[in-house]
Amino acid sequence: MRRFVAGRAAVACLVVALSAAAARGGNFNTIDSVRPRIGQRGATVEVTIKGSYLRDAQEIVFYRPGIRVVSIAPIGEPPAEKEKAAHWHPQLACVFEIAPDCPVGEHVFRVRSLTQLSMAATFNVTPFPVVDGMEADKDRGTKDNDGIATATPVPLNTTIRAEIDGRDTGDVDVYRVPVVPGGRLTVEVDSVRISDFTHGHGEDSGYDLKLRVLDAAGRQLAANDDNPLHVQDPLASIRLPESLPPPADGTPGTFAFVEVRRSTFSGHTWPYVVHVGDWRRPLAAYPPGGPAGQPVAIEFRGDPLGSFTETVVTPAEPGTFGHVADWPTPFLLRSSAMPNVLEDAAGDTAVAALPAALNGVIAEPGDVDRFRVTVTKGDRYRVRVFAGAIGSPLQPRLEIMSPSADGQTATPPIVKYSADREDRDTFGISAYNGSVLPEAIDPSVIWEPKVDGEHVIAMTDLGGAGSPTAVYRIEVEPARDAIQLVLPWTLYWWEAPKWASFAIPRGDRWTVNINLMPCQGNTFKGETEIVAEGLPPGVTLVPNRVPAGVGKWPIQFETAPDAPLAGAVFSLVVKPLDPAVTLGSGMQQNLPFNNKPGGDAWKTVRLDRFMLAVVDTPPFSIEIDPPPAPIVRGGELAIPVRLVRRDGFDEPVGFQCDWKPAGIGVPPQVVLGPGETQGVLQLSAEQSAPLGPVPLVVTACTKDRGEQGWHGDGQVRVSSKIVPLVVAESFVEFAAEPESVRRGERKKMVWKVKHRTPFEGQAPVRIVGLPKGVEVHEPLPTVAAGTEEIAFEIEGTDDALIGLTKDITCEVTVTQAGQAVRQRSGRGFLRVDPRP
Amino acid sequence: MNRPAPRLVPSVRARGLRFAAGAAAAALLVAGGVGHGAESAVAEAPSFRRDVMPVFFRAGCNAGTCHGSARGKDGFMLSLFGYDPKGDYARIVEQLPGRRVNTAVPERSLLLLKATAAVPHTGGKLFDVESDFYRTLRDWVAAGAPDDDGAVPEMVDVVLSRTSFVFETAGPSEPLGVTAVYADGSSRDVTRLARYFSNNASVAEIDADGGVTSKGPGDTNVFARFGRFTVGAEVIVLPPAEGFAWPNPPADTFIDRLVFDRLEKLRIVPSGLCDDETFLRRVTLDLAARPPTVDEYRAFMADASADKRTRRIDELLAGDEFIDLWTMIWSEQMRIIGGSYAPQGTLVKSADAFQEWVHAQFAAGRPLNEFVAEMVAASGSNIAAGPPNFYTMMVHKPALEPKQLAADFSQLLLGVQIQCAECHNHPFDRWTMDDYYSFVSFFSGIRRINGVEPREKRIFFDTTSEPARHLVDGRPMPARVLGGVQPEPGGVDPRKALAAWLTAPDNRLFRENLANRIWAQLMGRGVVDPVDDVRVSNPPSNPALFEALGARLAELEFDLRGLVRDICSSRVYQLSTQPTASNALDTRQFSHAHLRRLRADVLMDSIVAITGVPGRFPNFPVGARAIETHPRQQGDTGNGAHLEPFFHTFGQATRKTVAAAETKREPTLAQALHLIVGDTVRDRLAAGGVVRQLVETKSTPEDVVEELFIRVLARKPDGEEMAAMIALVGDSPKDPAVYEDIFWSLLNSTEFLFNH
Repeated sequence: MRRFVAGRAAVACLVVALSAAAARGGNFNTIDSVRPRIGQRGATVEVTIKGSYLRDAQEIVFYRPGIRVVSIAPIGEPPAEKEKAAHWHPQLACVFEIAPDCPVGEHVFRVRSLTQLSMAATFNVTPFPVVDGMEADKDRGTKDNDGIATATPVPLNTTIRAEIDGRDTGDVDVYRVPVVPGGRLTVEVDSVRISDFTHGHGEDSGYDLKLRVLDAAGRQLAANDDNPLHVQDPLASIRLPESLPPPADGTPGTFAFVEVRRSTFSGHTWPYVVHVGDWRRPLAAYPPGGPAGQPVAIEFRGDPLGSFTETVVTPAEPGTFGHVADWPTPFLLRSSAMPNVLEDAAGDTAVAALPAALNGVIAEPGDVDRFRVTVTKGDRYRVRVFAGAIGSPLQPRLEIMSPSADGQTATPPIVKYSADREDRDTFGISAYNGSVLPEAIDPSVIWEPKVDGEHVIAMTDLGGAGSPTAVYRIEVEPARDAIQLVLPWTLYWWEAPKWASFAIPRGDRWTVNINLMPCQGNTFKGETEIVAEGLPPGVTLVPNRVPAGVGKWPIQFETAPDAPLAGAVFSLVVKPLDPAVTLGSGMQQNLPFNNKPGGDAWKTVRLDRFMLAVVDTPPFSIEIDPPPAPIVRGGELAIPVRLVRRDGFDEPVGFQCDWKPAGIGVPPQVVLGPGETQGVLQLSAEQSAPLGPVPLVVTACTKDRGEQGWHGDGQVRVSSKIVPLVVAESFVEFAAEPESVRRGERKKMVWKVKHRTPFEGQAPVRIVGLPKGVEVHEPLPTVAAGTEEIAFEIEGTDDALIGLTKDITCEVTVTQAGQAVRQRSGRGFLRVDPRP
Repeated sequence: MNRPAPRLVPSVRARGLRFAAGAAAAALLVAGGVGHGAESAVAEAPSFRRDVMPVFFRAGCNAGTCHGSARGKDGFMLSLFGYDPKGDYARIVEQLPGRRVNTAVPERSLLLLKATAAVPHTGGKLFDVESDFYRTLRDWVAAGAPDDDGAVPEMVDVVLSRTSFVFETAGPSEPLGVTAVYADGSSRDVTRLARYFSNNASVAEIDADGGVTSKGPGDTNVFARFGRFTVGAEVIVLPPAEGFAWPNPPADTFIDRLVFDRLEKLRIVPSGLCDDETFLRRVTLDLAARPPTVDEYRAFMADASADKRTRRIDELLAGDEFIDLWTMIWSEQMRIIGGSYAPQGTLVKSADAFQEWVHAQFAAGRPLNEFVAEMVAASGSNIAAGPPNFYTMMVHKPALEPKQLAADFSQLLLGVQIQCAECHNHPFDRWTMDDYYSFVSFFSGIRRINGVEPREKRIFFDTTSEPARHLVDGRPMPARVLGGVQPEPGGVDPRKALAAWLTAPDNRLFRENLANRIWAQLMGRGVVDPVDDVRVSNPPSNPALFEALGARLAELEFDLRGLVRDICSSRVYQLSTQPTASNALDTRQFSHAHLRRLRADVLMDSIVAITGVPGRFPNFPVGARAIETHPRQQGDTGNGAHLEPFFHTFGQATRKTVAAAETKREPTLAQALHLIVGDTVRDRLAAGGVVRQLVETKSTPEDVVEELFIRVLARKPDGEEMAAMIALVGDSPKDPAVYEDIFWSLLNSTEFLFNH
């Protein structure tokens, strides 16, 4: 957690500005809304996307296959008035062709325009026909469906798309479904999970819905608000009574009524969908996973008509995967590089060998499951629990005990009942409230046994609860070295394109700071290289070499002048320079959806690959040369920056160092006005700056586009090449004894000189930080090779400030390779006394 | 009746409320020869704990205003009322060797010089050199100021020579003797070492030597305090017998019998039964949190059956509004507040979950002890379940503070304020620091961890946690129930045992607390009042009633509706507010009904119901009733700034604490002004269309006026009132504006504002 603190402090100053901007109606999402939010597999759907900077949209790129975008066309024209135009958000009319075999569930996409890649948005796919859930509509002649009498009729096995509105009495929507008495009725609501990528709206729970299933007489047959599987989105699956009352209006048939309302009153209107049907709806899977790429018999539990077993073939790639049978929401299961061990209901479970995935159910309150494993001192395991992460109601309490021969505990047990996100190799989530993902309830620990022999891994519910659906899986495997490459943390609640977008201008380049986050148990600290896989034609990743142990590094993409304008999903891999080392590598970008001010994301869209777009040739470039002289510790260095304007482009451009080398001070953005092409980047080095070469790169962006420069939406951005900046030891060090001077007194202030780095010629020195009223008399001293001491002739005037002044220092200017290099050193004390 | 017999085995500690113990125990003491004058053998030298410490106590040296203050006084500190004899010994004897205690020349001990004002002493002269106190201290110093740690039996009880005084007239005095009982069975007279106070000096005074003097008619209690014990005796000063004739009212219920017994004893004549109109309005406001409707009024008044009051009570008890009201009461007590940004897990969703759960319990008629037990032992998600929110809502802080939780828990569920014992043994009750820290340990392992979404916290007891440590010596204090002997075993969640002890039918503290709160809700005042300050020195105004109410609740298996039915069916509940000659000044004995200003939420809902204009409360849909809501506020729930002006003005509980005093019923000028000129009434007069509808549908002005009276006041106007109203109507019998004025006047009447 600690490493987030600095980041949070850094953005704190932005918060006020952001809030003010948001209050003015500013919105930093490039995509405000997607309507409808869902389409049926095999259908062609017209989708309207509203957002900003979408007028020149060229392409919609999905992260996974299944949806083909047939057409994109802007709707309407911007308002003529400048003020209105500034807040106008264009819309795109799109046609999505959803493949018959398109995966059910969430599909993440970005819109590529001529100049940028939008923030991420989502569209969902359902196996069922999509019907409208109609509210009162004069044109259609429909009434409010706020009760059984006015319920909207919908067929079974459909997905209803609707809105919960913000009326001041609270909206209630009721749907009438034909059912078979004694049969199964399953209802699943998607609300939080299909929310638009949006900043908060000042309330707690606007997306939070709850549902009830009623009979025609209004009797409640089932109700649900939150549940472990879908968290805030309700679901209910019931066996209907053998007899159901007929509808009061005499409609022939038997019906159930599905009522949807907000859990908590809200004055906003948001979309939701309800899937209604008779499909099987298990609540738990046991075992909840199996060895990678193999068939595994899984018992699905919790369906109202009873458990059933199916064989599921796990993916070849280990990880969590979504399994869909006949239900509309993927069921999360694990594919693991280890065999399954199932708990022995009769007693302790003997585990033949590790690694193994230990599966069990805390079926009764107070149950404790124990697995006996044999380990050797010096082993190093990662023990990771999957319960909340896969929708189990279990609140796991993991305990690892090391009994000695006499049955007594040899070393204190390891007890864990929660995890930080980092424990789960999850990074890049802004969260004020600590760990807010379902798996953060699941412990994950690196276990290094202190003794040889049989140990016990025990699992129970933290609060003593238990149920037949309280499944868990404990994956025990040797700890591995691995690094996750993580795109920059979202800024406050937005994905900021300025720092997190791979929009690379054609014929130019772009630089992104990538985070290298060590996974749990990682011990590798060596040098690495980041390489790209799956880049589109004409795009190259500039070779890089990442020093050992750094957590962030700039990587730069270049494009050929003729690179096709296109978007693509690609991968980055971190590779150790030492070929003998095995290092796992992964990628992630975690995007908060549906926040509220001051709160954490309810839903996080999690991406395990990155998206890149080649955008239009920019009308300007930014250039810097490798500095001819090093920057010395405690010194400053001025770097010339050249702006190359093309094609009559004369707008202001700002440049800055988005990449800040350790120990190097960089200035805030420098803006070059119309017509200006030259600027200076004034760098400074701390005394503790690491010595040696570091990458230096400048990025530049347009200033008159975008609602906020900090964010980057709507900007044209380019990057300079990465050049080496050398940090050297200081030239000299100055030291002075504490000195005093009386008003009216003239005396020498003497500084000892210690030489660190040789230089040629005489370097002038000035004294900085003297108190008011203390004057320095010419000539000022200089230092050269061999100078051991310098002195300043100082005089306390009658205006001199009485008292002690600290932090008086010397500034020496050395000219190297024609460039003036300034360096400060020393800390002197001067007391000014009154006249005697 | 928990008081132990005076001959105690050393390991048993004195427990239980002491009033009920009284005379029988004293008699036993005398019979056993350990009363006055039967002192045990006197030691050669005075004992520090047994003889010297009591001198500090009696002389006031270790009082909070003197050396007993937290930082001592003038550089010398003693433990408050002597809770830490070991520390006191060290400070007196060892802190400044030879100064405070000079064993070579005892008379030069600063202890003696200061106490006798031989040297300047801020506290002045406390006793002179001839006194017993001086002799005790000097002899102890002369003996070398020995410590007697472990050598002196622990004091286990203090017994009074009598527990009741009845004076026929003001003026006479009678003595009260005080005896300390020790763990070895020995005892001694400590009348001259104890300190005394009276709860009402206008009824009886008690002097420094235990002399009780009657001062004026009434009943009160006098107390003796010695060591960690405070013991009380009842004092009744009777009014003149002349003119008093007990009317012998019907007493069909245990409540009537116990209240009337007490009144007869005190020579107070109860008021008569209230009329049907008053009863209907009273019981409807009390059980349905609103005034009766016109239809209800007419039906009730037309009903000539003898049992119509009982039937009405049952009808109201079966209604949803009764559930809403009691949900609100518990919601306030447990501080249910939902915020839009509350990192402590008190977001709106969790508040809703808790509120809905509480509502469901009252709807299902869940026994109160089961209801409480489930919350006390609750673990799990604050979103998925209601009960665990007990451990977030009572706290409303980022960190869960076991001490605060223990104090709030005790205050709410036992009516006992134990927090004094955090720093010293409770000065006015029986709770010691050992009791306190052992009780805190029930909460020291409670943890709240993040759940699967931002609003969620999961609550559980960490069985590996350390118990609370004693403030004085840092001892770990394993969890032990108040008044219990055996600590709970470690390694398990002790809250199950806590819940079981707490809610057991034989736990008088719990059952009497709940019963007294129910009584206070219906009668406007607890038998112990305030209801959340049950202590030895704040005894019940009618001990038998207090005990009987608790016993009855347990007998009813903690059925809320059962006890409410008992109370509302009693003649005592149905007494008139019109006083008799002898009960006008009575505020404690339930001799007549007292005017009770409506709770803020009930008042609001009453105005809404009468005017037909729905309420609009922040973050609730239009039409929600005030009684159904709970605070949903922007931001953090810890700031407690959620009350709308109306609710603030009318004293709605702020939910900043669990204190019963949070709900304010006092009338204020601001309240009157709010109703007169505020928008609550003004904006509703015409908006609901009530008046226009009446004018249109009623044939005569008299009918309209009568309907308005019934609607607002649940009674018909008398002849004088009707005449005055008709005069106002004048020759505009169909002008709604005149009737709106009448409507306004009725809504602004004190009669409307009060339950009577």
